[in-house]
Amino acid sequence: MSVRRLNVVQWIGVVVAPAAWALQHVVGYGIAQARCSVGGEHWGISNTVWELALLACVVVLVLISEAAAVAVFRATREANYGDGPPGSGRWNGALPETRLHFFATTAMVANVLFLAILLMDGIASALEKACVGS
Amino acid sequence: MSDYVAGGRAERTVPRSTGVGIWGMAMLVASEVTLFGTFIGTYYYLRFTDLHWPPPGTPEPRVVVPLVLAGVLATTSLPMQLAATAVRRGRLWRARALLVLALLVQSGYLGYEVHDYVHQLHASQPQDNAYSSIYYTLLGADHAHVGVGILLGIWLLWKLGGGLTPYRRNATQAVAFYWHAVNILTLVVIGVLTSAAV
Amino acid sequence: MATAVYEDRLERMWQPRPGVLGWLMTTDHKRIGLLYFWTTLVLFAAGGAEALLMRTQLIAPNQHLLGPATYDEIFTMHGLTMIFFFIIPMTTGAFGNYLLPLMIGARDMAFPRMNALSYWVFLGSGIFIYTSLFLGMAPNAGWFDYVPLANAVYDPGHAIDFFCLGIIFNGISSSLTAANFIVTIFKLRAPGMSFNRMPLFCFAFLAASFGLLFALPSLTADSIFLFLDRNVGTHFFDVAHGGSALLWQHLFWIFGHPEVYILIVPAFGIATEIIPAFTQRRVVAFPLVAVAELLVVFIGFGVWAHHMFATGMPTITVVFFAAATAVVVIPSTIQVFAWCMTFITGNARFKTPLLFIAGFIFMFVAGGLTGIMFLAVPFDQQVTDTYFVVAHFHYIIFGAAVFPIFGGLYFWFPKVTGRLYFELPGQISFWIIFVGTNLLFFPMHLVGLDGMPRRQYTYPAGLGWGPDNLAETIGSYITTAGIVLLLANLVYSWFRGPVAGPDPWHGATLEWTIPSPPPEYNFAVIPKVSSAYANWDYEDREEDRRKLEQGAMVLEQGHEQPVSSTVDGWWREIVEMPHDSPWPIVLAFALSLVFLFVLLHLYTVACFAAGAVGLTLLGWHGEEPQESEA
Repeated sequence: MSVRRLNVVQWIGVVVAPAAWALQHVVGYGIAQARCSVGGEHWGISNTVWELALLACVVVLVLISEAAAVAVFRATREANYGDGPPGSGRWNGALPETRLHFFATTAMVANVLFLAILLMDGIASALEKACVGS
Repeated sequence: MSDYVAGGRAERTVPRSTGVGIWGMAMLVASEVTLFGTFIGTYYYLRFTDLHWPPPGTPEPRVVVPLVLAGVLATTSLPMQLAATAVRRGRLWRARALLVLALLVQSGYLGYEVHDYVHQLHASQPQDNAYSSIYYTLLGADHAHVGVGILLGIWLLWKLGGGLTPYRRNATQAVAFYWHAVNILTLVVIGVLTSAAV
Repeated sequence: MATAVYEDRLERMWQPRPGVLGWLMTTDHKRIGLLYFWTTLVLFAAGGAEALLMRTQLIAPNQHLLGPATYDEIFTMHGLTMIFFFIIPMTTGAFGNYLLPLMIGARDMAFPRMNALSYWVFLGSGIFIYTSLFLGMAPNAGWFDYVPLANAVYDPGHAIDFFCLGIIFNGISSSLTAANFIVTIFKLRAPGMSFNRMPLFCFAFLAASFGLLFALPSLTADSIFLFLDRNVGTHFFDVAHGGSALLWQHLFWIFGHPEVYILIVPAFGIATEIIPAFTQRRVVAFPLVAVAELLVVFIGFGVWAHHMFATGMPTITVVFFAAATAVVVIPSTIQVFAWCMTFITGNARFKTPLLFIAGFIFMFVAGGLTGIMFLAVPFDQQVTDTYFVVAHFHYIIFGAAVFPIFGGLYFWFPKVTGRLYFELPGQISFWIIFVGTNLLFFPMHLVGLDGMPRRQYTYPAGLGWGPDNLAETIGSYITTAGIVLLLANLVYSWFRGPVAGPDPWHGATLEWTIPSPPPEYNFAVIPKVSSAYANWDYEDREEDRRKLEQGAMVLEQGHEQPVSSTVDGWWREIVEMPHDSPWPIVLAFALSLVFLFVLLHLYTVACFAAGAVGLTLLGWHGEEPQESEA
C-alpha cells in the first residue's frame, strides 16, 4: 500500500473502534434508561432487540477497525523498534513508517479491549429482562 | 534536513498546516460542545424522569419558527467561510462585505430570539418546574454563544479595518470556525428543545 | 567561540523584565511552573493541616477537638484542597509547565500569556475558596457535594455558593492549561519528533489534558445548575417539581471519575521518565505504555456510575459501567508490568527518586486491587460509605499521585536549581513517608470492613475501632515528619548542595541536554530528534553542537520558535512568542471580580465586571504575535 493509503487505513484503525464503543455506551445506556424510567416506559422499547442490534453494528465497526490496524502493522513490519541500552542504534527508524507501525501496534491492542467491553455489556444488557434495582 | 536553510528560515515551498491559533479555537470549541453535551444529556435525563413532558401547565415549544430561524442562522456559515477564503487571497474588501452580511443576519437572529425569550417568560418561568429550568438554561446558553460570536465578528471587522497580516488571516478562519460550531450547535439545541412537542 | 556569540544574542533577546514586575508579567513557562509550585506547596500545607486535624479528632472515641459542623467543613476542604489545589496544579501546573516544553525541544508553550493567565486564575480561585474558610462559611457537604444535602433548604447560607463558584473558577484555570498543553504537544514539538518519538511523559500529559478538557464542562454544568437551584429557584435537582437528585451525582461523576485518572496519569508520566534514567534502559513495550496512558483516560470516561452502585439504578444500566470498569484496569496493569520488566531487565540504581517510584508501584497495586473489588456490585454495596473506600482512594492518590510527585521533586531538583540534593536524608525521608502512609491508610481497610462509616466526626467506644484509628493517627504524624524532612532536605540542598551539571543522572530526555538551571530560551539550537530518548542519541547531540557553531537552527532573530506538523513533526513555520505582558494578571483580577459579585448576588455589577473582562481581552489581542508566511 502507498503511504497515503496507509495513513487513511491507520486512522480507521485508531479512531473507529473507540468511537464505536463511545456510541454504544451512550446509546445503549440511553436505551436502558428509557426502558426503565417513568418517562420512557410508554414508548414500549424492546430492550433486547435494540441492544442486540446496537451490539451487532458496533462489533462490525470494531472488527473493521482491528482489521485496518492489523493491515498497517503487517505492511510496516520492517520499521519496528529497536530495544536495549542507550545508543544501540536499532531504535531510529524512518518516518512515516515507524509512526504508522507505532499507531498500528497501539490500535491493535486497544481495539481488543474495546471489543471486550462491548461484548460484556452488550450481551448482559440484552439478556436482562426486568427493570430491577441493583 | 534538506528542508532547512542555514539560519533556520523555512523555504516558501513548505506545505501549509493548521496553525496554532486555529488549534486554540478548536480547543475552545471542544470544551463548549462538551458543555452543551452535558446540558442536552441533562435534558433527556430529566425527560425520562418525568411522566409528562412538558409537565401540565407548561406550554409546548413551537416547532416550525425556531427551526426555520436556526436554519437561517446556519446559512451564515457560508459568508463566514467565504470571508476566510477571501482574506487568504488578500481580497480585503470582499472579506469585509461578507462579514458585514453575516453579522447583519446573525444580529437579526439574536435580536428576534431575545425578544422571543422575554415573551416566553410571560407564559412560563424557569422556576416553574425542571422542564422550564432546563429549557430556559439550554436556550439561554445557546443565545449567549451566538452573542459572543457576534462580538467576535465585530472585533474581527475592526481588526481588518487596519489591513491584512498573517495573524488577522488566522483570526478570520478561527472566527469562521467558531461560527460553524455555533451554527451546528444551534440546530442541535433547537432540535432537542422542539422534540418535546413530539 | 561562535557558540558563545549565539548564546549571548539569545540571552539578550529572551531577557525577562527585572524584579517583582518581571514575575507579575512573566509568560515564561519555567517561571510560571515555579509560581505554581510555591503556591501549591502552601495549599498542600493547608490540606495537610486539615488532615492532621481530622486524624487528631479521630485518635480515640468521643473526642471533642472538632465539633460536627467544623468537621464537615474540614473534610470537605481537605478533599477540595488536595484534589483541586494540590495534585492538579502540582502535576499539570508545576511539573507540566516547567518540563513539557523542555521535553519536546520547545522554547515555551503554544500560548504563553494564556499560561500565565492559568496561574493567576488558579491563585484567584485558591484565595476565593479559602476566604470561605476564614469567614466561617466553608463548603461543608463533602467535595462531591451531593444534593439534596447541598441545596438551599438543607444548606442555607453562602458555603455551597463558594463551592459552586470556586469550582467553576478553578476549572477555568485547568481548562486553559489543558488546551495549552494539547496545542503545545501537537504543534511545538522539535522538528523530527513524530508521535512515536515523543517521550512517555508527554503522552501522559496529553492524556491528562484531554481528560481535563472534556471532563470539566460536566462539573461546570453541575455547579451552574446547583447555583441556579439555590439562588434563582430553578428545579434541576428538586424531585417535587420534576427534577432529579441523582442528576447531580451523574454529572458530578462524569467529571469525577476522569478526574481521578487525571490525578494519577501525570504521575505515571513522571514515573515513566524516572525509571529509564535509573535503570539506564528504554521502557519495555514503549507503544503499549504510550497507548495505555491514553486508554486509561478514554475508557475512564465511561465508568462513572460505578460511584453510584448503591443508589438503586436498574441492573441493565449498571452493566455498562461494570464492564467498562473491568476493562479500564487493563491499561494500568500493562503499564505496571512494563515498568517492572524495565526494572528487572535494566541496571537499577535505587537513588531516592527510584525509591519513590518503587513505593509508588507497591501502593498503586495495593490500591488498584481494592479498586477492582468495587467492581462487584454486591461487595460495593456493603462497603460504600465506609473507611474501606477511604483506604482505597488514599492508597491510589497518595501512592500513585503523591509518591511520584515526591520522586519527581528529587529527580528534577538538580535541573531546576543547578544543585544536587543530599542522598542519605532523601532515602530516609522516603522510608519514613512509606512507613507512615502504610500505617496511616492500611488500618482503614480493616476498620472499614468492620463498618466504620466515612465523614463522621467521632465514633463510639466499644466497637473495637479505637486501636486502628490510633495507629492511623500515629501514621499521619510519621508521614508529616517524613514530608517535613523531604522539604527541609530540598531547602538545605538549594543553599548548600554540591553543584550539579546539566546531566547528573544520564537521563533520557531533552531537558538533560541543556544547562542547569535552564537559560530563559531553553535550547540554544533547536534539537534534532530521532527517538523518544533524545539524550541517549549521541550522534544527534554532536550534530546539534556543530549546528550551534555555525548558527544553524538557532532562531535568534526574535523570540522565535519552530512549529511542526501535528503527527510526524515535519518543519512548518517559525512563530514569534509573546514576551512579558500585564494582560494575564489584569484579566485574572477582572475575572475574580465577576465571581465575587456573583457570589454576593450583585448580578448587574457582575455584568460590568464581565465587560471589564471583555475590554481586557481587547487589549490582550491588540498585540499581534508575528507569524511567518507559511
